[in-house]
Amino acid sequence: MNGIYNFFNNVGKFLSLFWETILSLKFFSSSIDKILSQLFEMANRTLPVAALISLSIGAVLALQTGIQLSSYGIQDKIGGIVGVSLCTELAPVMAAILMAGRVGSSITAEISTMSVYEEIAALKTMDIDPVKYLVLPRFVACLVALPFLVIYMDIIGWLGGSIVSNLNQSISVSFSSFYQDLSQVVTFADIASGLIKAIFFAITISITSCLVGLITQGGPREIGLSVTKSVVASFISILILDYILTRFLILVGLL
Amino acid sequence: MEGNISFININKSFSGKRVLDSFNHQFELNKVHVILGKSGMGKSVLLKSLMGLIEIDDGEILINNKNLRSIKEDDKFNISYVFQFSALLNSLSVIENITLYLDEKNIGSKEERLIKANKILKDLGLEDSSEKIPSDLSGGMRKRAAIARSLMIEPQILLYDEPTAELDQINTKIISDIILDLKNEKKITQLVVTHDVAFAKSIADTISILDDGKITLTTNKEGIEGLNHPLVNPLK
Repeated sequence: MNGIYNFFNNVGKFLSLFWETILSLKFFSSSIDKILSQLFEMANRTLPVAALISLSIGAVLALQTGIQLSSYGIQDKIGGIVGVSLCTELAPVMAAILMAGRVGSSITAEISTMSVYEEIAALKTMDIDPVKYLVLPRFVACLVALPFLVIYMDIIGWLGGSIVSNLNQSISVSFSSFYQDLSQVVTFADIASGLIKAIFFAITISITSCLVGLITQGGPREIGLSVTKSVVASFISILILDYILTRFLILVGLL
Repeated sequence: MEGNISFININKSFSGKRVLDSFNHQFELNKVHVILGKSGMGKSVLLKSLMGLIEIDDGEILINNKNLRSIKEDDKFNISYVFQFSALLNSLSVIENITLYLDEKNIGSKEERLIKANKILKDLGLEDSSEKIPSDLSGGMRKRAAIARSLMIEPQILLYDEPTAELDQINTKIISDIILDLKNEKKITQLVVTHDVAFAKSIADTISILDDGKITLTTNKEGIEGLNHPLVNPLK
């Protein structure tokens, strides 16, 4: 019973903070500096790892699928399979998990430290709204960064797939055949569906990370626990949301 | 400004434990009031409720018979707060902490903000530390930086939560001199919560003892001398 109460209590807090953040968007122009600084930090934290992950996923996907396809003699279809898998599912989910792990955790660590050491209360004494000062820049930066990260991972993943398809002797598909099939199969709707997922994931990650930070009380031990809680909650939310969004996108005919 | 701060029948509980119990008291403006009390007696809760950081369960806080919200909005009456552990934003330099309020509220030009902040830093002896980050400052300097940040708001009331916690005698003397200067030169009403009786005696116009959520005694600094109270003379 307590667990159900806590669940709905947390959902309520999430929706309330999300709504407050939406209302604070009117301060967007005065927060540009902070948003750009957050974007720079997010890019710094995610781009190198994202390149490694997507290159590896693209390569492994091409290797596993390519060998199977070549046993039926249809390995020239590899470009489309790698392309669609990456942009509709793997890139958005992996980018979101990376964002939650690398960026969400640091957002929670920073804000929960500020909560524990009364920095948030100090902001309130100066009549500075913590939502406008702390949540808004991180929310907008996440909302901009994650779709870009997905496109970045799409491109690098496709590159990884094409390299393996070309170099692996069991598959042996040329770059031009790979990209020709990819361009024929991957539609704008496929890419858009990945970006729609990214937007919902960005909202979930940024609001969850900020919320857990803002409600942290106690000391250094609670800061550590909050970071774990925030990352786990983000991961679970991403996976559940991924299923719901996939069903929805199929329903509306985007997938 | 003449008048007083009135706490009327204030109740506040946390998890069923009553911290402020029908609390009634008046503090005269333009004076330094010290509240002494053991830990957990509600001293910080009292200050935070006046600051608006904690919502009280019942009762009313009035300043010159006006409620807090209307006096802040209509009369541009400012209250500021110096936290026990300073609560400076560690991601900002000292000068950025000091100008934060004016920057966020977009008050004055950038140059005007810096001139004002540098004057306050100079008055508090922090002019050489403006570019440092708070974690590079000593405890006494951090406390002075926190007071500087509070002064940027130009408060009529300044609240201090254990301002000498973890400070040595020299820094305690510096803080008490600052409090007396603010009273004499700027006529700022100051409410100070502390355990430190010697510090209380050095700054107070009135000293009140808070026990079990109520003020049990109010006296002046002379009156505290011969008082037979465990907080004042723990060995008696």
